[in-house]
Order: sequence, then structure tokens, then C-alpha cells
Amino acid sequence: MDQARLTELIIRADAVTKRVSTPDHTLTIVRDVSLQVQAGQSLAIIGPSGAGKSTLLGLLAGLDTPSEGDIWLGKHQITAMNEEGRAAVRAELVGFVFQTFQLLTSLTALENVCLPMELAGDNQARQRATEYLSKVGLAERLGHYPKQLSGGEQQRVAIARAFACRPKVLFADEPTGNLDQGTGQKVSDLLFELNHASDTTLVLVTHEQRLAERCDDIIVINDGQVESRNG
Amino acid sequence: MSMVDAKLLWRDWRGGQLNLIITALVLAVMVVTAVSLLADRVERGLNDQISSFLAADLSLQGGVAIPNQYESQANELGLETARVARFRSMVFFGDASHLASVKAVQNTYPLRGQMELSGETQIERLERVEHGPPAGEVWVEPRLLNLLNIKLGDELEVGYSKLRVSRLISKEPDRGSGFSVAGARVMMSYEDLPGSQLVRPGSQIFYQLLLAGSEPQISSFTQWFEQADIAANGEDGVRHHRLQTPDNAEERLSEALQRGRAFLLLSGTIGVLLAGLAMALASHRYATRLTDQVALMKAWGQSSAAIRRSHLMRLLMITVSATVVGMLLGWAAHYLLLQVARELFDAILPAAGWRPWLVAAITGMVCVMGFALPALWHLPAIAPLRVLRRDLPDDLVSQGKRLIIGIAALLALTLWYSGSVVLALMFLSALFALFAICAIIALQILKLVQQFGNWHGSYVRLGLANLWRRRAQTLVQLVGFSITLMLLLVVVGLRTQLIGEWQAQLPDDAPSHFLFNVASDELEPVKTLLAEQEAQAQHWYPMVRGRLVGLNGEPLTRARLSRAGGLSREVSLTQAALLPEANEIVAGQWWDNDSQASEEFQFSMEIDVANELGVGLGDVIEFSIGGLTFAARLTSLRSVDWQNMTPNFFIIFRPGALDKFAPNWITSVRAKPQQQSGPFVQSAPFVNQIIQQYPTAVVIELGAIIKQIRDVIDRVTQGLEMILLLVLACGALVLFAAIGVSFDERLRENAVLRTLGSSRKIVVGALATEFVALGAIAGLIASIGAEIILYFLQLKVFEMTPLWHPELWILGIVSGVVLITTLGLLRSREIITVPPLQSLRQIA
Repeated sequence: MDQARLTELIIRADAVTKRVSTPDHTLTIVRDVSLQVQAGQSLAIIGPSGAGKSTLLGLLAGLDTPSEGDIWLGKHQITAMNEEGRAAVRAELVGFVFQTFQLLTSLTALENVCLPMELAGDNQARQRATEYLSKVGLAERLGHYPKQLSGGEQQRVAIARAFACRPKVLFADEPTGNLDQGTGQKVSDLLFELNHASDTTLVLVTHEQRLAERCDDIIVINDGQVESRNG
Repeated sequence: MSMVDAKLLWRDWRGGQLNLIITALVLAVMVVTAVSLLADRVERGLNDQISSFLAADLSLQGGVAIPNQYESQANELGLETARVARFRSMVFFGDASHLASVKAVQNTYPLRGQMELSGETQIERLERVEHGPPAGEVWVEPRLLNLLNIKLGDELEVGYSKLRVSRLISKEPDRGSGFSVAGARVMMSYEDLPGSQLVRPGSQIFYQLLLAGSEPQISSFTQWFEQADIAANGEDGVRHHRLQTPDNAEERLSEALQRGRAFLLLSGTIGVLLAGLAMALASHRYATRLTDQVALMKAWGQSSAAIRRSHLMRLLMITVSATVVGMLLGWAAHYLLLQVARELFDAILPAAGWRPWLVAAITGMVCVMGFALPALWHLPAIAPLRVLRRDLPDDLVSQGKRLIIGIAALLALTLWYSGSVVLALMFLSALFALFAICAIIALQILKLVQQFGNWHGSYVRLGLANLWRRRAQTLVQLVGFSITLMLLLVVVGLRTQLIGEWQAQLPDDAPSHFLFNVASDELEPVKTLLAEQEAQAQHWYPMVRGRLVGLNGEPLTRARLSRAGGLSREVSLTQAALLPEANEIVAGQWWDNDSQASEEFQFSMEIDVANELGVGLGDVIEFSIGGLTFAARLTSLRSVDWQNMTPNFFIIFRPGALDKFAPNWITSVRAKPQQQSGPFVQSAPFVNQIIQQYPTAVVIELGAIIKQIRDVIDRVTQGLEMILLLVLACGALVLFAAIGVSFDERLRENAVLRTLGSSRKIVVGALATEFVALGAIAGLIASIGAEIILYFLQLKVFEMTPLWHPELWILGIVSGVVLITTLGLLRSREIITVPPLQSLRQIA
């Protein structure tokens, strides 16, 4: 593999397998998955419930370690690192959007968006958070707490939070899974719009074919294995 | 500390997640600050007095006038001396009188320490002197001015003398234990003593020869005195005088001090324990809430170390601010306590040292480390994957480990408070045994209650089932509340016991006054005077002071005498033809007055002291009265009801034995009820006449004494109640925290119940049932415990007939129900009022 090609790759997984042990037996959740994602591209991972999509997403994002195989995130071989090393890579490259939004209930919309930037020591956190909340149409709701927002609005806050940190790669786990169809559509429009504008690489796990089809690449996972690939 | 940590802390605080932790910490520090400041200041006050307790280096003292040879020897050795005589006597101004603590001193008094005097009532214009009042003048305690309505310059009648009140005493070096329940001080010159005619045969006077000098001089005198005393009285002979050093004095004080400190230690530790428990529960909830936040932060790339640093910083900020607030509130609480108790202390107490503040600060830190930190410790280790998989275990430190850490923290604190490993271990073991017993009883009652719910309506069953389902939490709440309520009930019960029942036991025809120190030549005129005033004197007893010196021909050793506490010093002896009322012969026979008196003297002894001394019927005891000795045979043993308010004696002789000694006379008098014009002013007309005509006689009004004792008990119990209320507040926090732990669960359950169509009435009814049952059980356990403790206190400490306290059971159960139901519903109001959809969304 030549050097120029490697630099364009932002994610690379080689023969990744994840097994977990239960008291009775060992379960293989992800089996021998290899994939590559170019910088700026989008990849959808689809498949039925329990297929291992979220586990694969966690492995690619460096939230968990595989039982076998190697994963590179940017220039970093995260499978060769300890948790502290992976944390540093995540801080540098990664952002998240979750199915359950994961907003902190005691923080306002603005504070939720500010938090990761504040933790990273960004002096412009408040300004950028305000800017991104305006971009997702919540300029009037900065001081509202999560419980005062609808599901769609909460997910828009989560998207603003993810993009405000300017990640190289955004991992989205079922971003519209908890939303009705109309709201889901608006949220996914927003997600792709910001993704193009920010030139971010997007990896998303979804059930929804229509959402997956908006990505540059799709892999279908079944029983932990890549069943098909379309892109 | 970074701004981000401060921001995170502020947001947690604003979200209400820290309220309980901080409140618990503030309360723990507040209880400990108040309690240790109080203990420290009282201790310092007493120690100050101990150091100059004698106003001398050595005091030779006793109930008999000190022979001149002792003074000459002291002078020969180059010691400074001062004679002092102390006694109680009525002092008089116009029609007003007061039973004062009179002290006659030579001009050289005090040999050590200083008198603090003021010319007016303002304390700031103090004058320090090292001499006593000049002849013709008296110095008095300021409260006497109000009691007798006098001012400086007025002439006070002391015995047969009229002495001018020239100065006010704000402090005297040897004012005793610091508790001034006795009469106001009147200090006069020793030179005025003969003129006052207060010293008469049989008068109860405590004489002192104060000595001061260098250490060799003091030890030479001590040696000389021991030898002279033995030479005069034999190895085990009677001692009318003894030496007191500041050390002796300290010993007596330290016992009372130890008891007080033990109570403060008990309430302080229970307060800290309850607050710690509340803090541990609240921290657990806080940690659960932080789990998602930490997982998210780790997903964003925060390292475990950074997260740990951030949490420690936040905890440090909480500790410092809560400790400072707790200390300030603790200071205020101790100030209030001192205000309540201020009349118990003679002078202003010295300022506290640094130790209480250190104790408070360390308490705050140890509480956080022992109770809050363990719950939060494993947060940084939470897997970042939890952001995707919420089913992952949260790896919080197990409850068992946290319990061990909590107990270790408590042990460390108790050790620090008490300064003794054994005491701390014993104390905590007893406390946990009490907890275990309470928990076992609570569990049994809970089982019963749960079954009771099975055949009751819907919300009762639901509420009681909830109690059983969350029985671990229920038990914690029950134990915490029961013990605090129990202690409060004991204090309330004791107050009633000591005052109410004592008064209730007094018969309607109980005497109203004691009259004593009446000389033989005054007896007939006094009797006539009483008859004229329609005051009924009961039996008159002659009284002389004497010692027991021998048993069946052998000397009575000091060690043996000290076994019978009442007989180890000079005792009051009397003779009587008839068995006094409230006395009952339990062995032997009362003398038959008609029969011919035998050659030998006979006497009767109170059964308890006879047992303590180890003497029985037929034994011959040798007595010494004013240096003269004689023997008498023990012919009967009596039981005595000491509470019957008539003169009672350990030893009564058959008439004849005391004839050759000059007695003074004592009786109890029942006067017609009179309008009282003040607590210390005796208003029955015979009192004033007796005092005016026979100034050396002493009249004590029992009503005033009972009132005085009640005032003291009231103040002490008020103080105890204030401390226990602080402890109860800690108990309330445990309730709040325990409800907090199950808050989300309750919120969800009630949302589901209401979504499924349960009425608000059922939800509120179930909650109310839960809290009412919890309160009733806690109240019941508290009442059982309090009753048991009171039973033993009555039996062993106060030697009273134990009585049941039905009113305490009602008080315990009602206060338990009201308190817990109110607090519980208050804490649960969100569960009741928030619409179900919002509850469900909040939990999601």
C-alpha cells in the first residue's frame, strides 16, 4: 500500500473479531470484519437487531478493543494503544451522536454543547456552541434544559454538540432511531448538511435503508459478519 | 483548579444533585463544631478554676476549727497563711433575706490567684486585688443586689453584725466547681466573724487554713502534718482535718467532666454517623447520575486521570466550603447553647482553643473521604463504551467495601474525638450493637406490618409492600430515626422523671421549710414564735457532727470507711426516743423508752450504709465528737425514705448518748401557704422574724429549692435537647437521602401506575401509608428503647422506683409519624405532582 493512499484513509479495520464470554459459552459478536473509509466519505452500517452493528461502531471509534485484528484511526493504530492512548486519539479526531441523545439533564442546551469544548480547553466554546445551535435552528432555545425540549430538538442539540468540536470522524449510532419519521428526516437532513459543510467523515449505524442510502458506502452486517457491501 | 471544574461543580449544584451531600457535610461539621467548642470552653473554664482552685498551694481543712499550733508551724516554716471559714447563713436587708454562701477570709486571702471586683455592675471596670474585704465591709456577688434589692453602700445584716456592701465580686479564685446552684456569695472579713456570733457550738462550718510557699516548704509542712496527725490520733485514728492539693480537686471535677464529655461524644458521633450515612446514600445517587457523564467524557477523549483530578478538585471545593459553613453554623449553635446554659456558669468562659476547629475540619475531610469518596472512586474507571451499551455494569465500589470504609472513617473519628483506642472501640461496638438490635426488631415489625397489608385496601397494601420491597433502605431509615428519637425521649423522660415525679411524690402535708442551726438556748423561744405564727414544727432533732473511729475495739480504717461513702467524713448524729416517720426497722428492735437504760449507749443505723460498712446488730462502734470519744452498740437497722422531706439521719442514738455535747437543732416546718414575691425571698412571716431575732438560725424554703433545681435541670435538658435536635436533623437527612436513592424508581413506578389509570389518591395514599408506617415503627422502637434506658437510669442512677411512661410512647409514635410523613411527602412531592409523561421522559 503506497503512502499517499494511506494518508487518505481515515479508518481502516483489518480482520477484526470481537468475542465476549458469558458464563456458559463464548459469543462472537463481530467476525473477521475488514473495511476502509476515506477521509470525507460517509459509511452506513446496516443490519438487523443484534447483528453487531453498534459493537463494530464502538470498535472503530476506539471505545472498545477487538479480540483479534487491527484498527487504524487516522495515523494511529488504536489496537496497539491502551485506553489513555485511545482517549487521546478520540479527543483529537472523533465525535459522536447517539440514539438516546446522551444530553446531560442538569445542563442547558448551550452548556451541553459547550461541555466537550470546555473540557478540551477551547476558549471560544460559548461562541462556537451558540453558532452551531443557531445552525441547527435552536438559537431561541439556548437556555432550555433537555426535559424542556422535544426528542427531535434534543437530537439537534446532540448534533450541534458533535459538530461544534470539529471532529474529523463522526460516529452516529442510530441517530434517528428514537424519532418519528418526519422528525427523523429533518434530523438526518441536518446531519448530512453539516457533514458536507464540515468535510467530516461520517460512520453511521442505522436500521433505515433510506438513511443508509444517503451515504457514499454501505455495509450490511449479519450475525457479526459483513454480508454485502454496496458503494 | 480549573474553571471547568468550578463550572461543572456549579452546574451540579444548580441541578440539585449536591444538595444532600453538602447539607449532610455541613450538618456533620456543625454538630461536631458545636459540641467540641462547648466541651473545650467548659473544660478550659473548669481547668482555669482548678489551677487556682485552692487560692493557695495547699489547704488544711475540716469541719472543726483549725488549732493554732498548725498555723504556728506553718509560720515557722516560712509559709504564708490565710484562714477561711465557709458556711451558709441567711443575710438580711430590711424585710428581704437570702440564704447566702458566706465566706469569712483573713486579709491575706487569696494566697494564689486574684479577686476580680467591680464597683458597679458593669463587668468592664474590673479591679484585680490580692486581699480580702476589710473589717466592717462585705463583698457580694452581683446577683445579690437584685435578690435583696440593695445597692452598694447599703448595710447588710450578717448574723448580729451590720456590714457595708462595698464591692461586687465578679471572680474569686476558689469558687468551687463552677456551677452556682447554691446561694449568692457574701465575703466578709475574718475579723468580723466573732461579732456576728455566727460561730456557735454545732454550727456547720467548713474551716480552711490556706498555705502558700516554695515547694520544699510545702512538702516539709505536709510531712510534719502527717506525723503530727498520726501522733495525735494514731495510724487509723479519726482525722478532723485533711490536706487538699490542687490535684485532689481536679480528681473530683474530672469525673463530672468525663460524664459530660461522654454524652457530647455520643451525640457528636451519632450525628456524624447519621450525616455520614446520608452522605453515602446521596453520593451513591450522585455517582449513578455521573456515570453517563463520565462515559460521555471518556468517549470525547478525556483521560481517566483527568476525570479523577476533576472529581477530586470538585470534592475538595465541596469539602472546604461545606466545612467552613458548618464551622460558622456550629459556632452559632454553641453560642446559643451557652446562652441557654449561661446561668450555670459563674463567669464568662475562656475562648476556645484551636483544637475544636481542627476537629471540625478533620471531621469534614474524613466524612468526605469515608462516605462520599468511595461512591465516586470508581467513576473514572467507567468504560467509555457505556455511551453505546448502557447495560454494561457500572463498576461502582461494592456496598460491602463502602460499608467497611465508612466504619473505618467513623472509627478514626471516634478515636480522634476520644483519644483512646479502647474507648473508641467499645463505644462503636455498643453503638453498632444498638443498631443491630434496632434493625432486628425493625425487621420483625416490618414482617408483621407487611402481612397486615395483605388484607387491606389497595393503597395500604401497595404502600406496605413498597416498604418490604425496599427493606434494606427501610431498615437504614428506621434505625437512624429510632435511635435519634430514642435519645430525645430519654432526655424528655428524664426531665419529667426528675422534677414531676419527685414533686408528685411529695405528700400534700409535706413540710414547706427546713429550720436548722438553732442553738439550745434559742429552742424554746423559736418554738413559741412558730406556734404564734401557726407554723407547725415537726419533731425537733438535736444534731452534732462526729466521726466513726472504731469497730469492736479495733480502729476503723480509712479504706473501710470509704466503702460507705456517707460515713467517710463527719456525719450528722442525733438522738431520738421515737422512730422518725418514713423510717422502718428492718432488723433488731427500736429501744423501749420505758425500760431502764442500760449502761452502754445504743444506736440505730441506716441499712444501706451498715451493709457498705459491713457492720451488723451487736457490733460496738466508737464515735469521736469534737475530740471526745465514746462507744455505742448497734441495736437496730432501719430503711429510710430519703425523699420524704423531713430530717433524716444515718445514725440515731438512744436518748442520753449525746447529752454531754452542745447540739444545734433541726426540724421541718409546715407553714401556711404564702404569696411568693420572688424565687429566693422567703415570704412566710415566721421566716423573717426568726432571721431577725436569731440570725444564726438557717431557714431553707423547699419550694424555692425545688424551683432552683428545676431551673437547673430545665437548662441542662434544654441544652441536651438542642444538641439532639441537631442530631435529629441528621436523621432527617438520612430519610431524604434514602428516598433519593429510590427516587427514580419511585418516579417511574408512579408514572406507570398513573399512566395505567391509578388515581392520584392511590399514589399519594400508598406513599403516605409507607411513611406513616415507617414513622410509627420508628416511634415504637424509640419508645421501647427509651423505656428500657429510663428503667435502668431510674433503678441504678437515681435509685427511684421505676415507673412506666405511657406519655412517652404516645409522644414517640406521634412525633415519629408526623415527622417522617411530613418530611417524606415533602421529599416525594415531585413524584406526586409531575405529570406521568414528563416523569417517563425524565427517566428516559
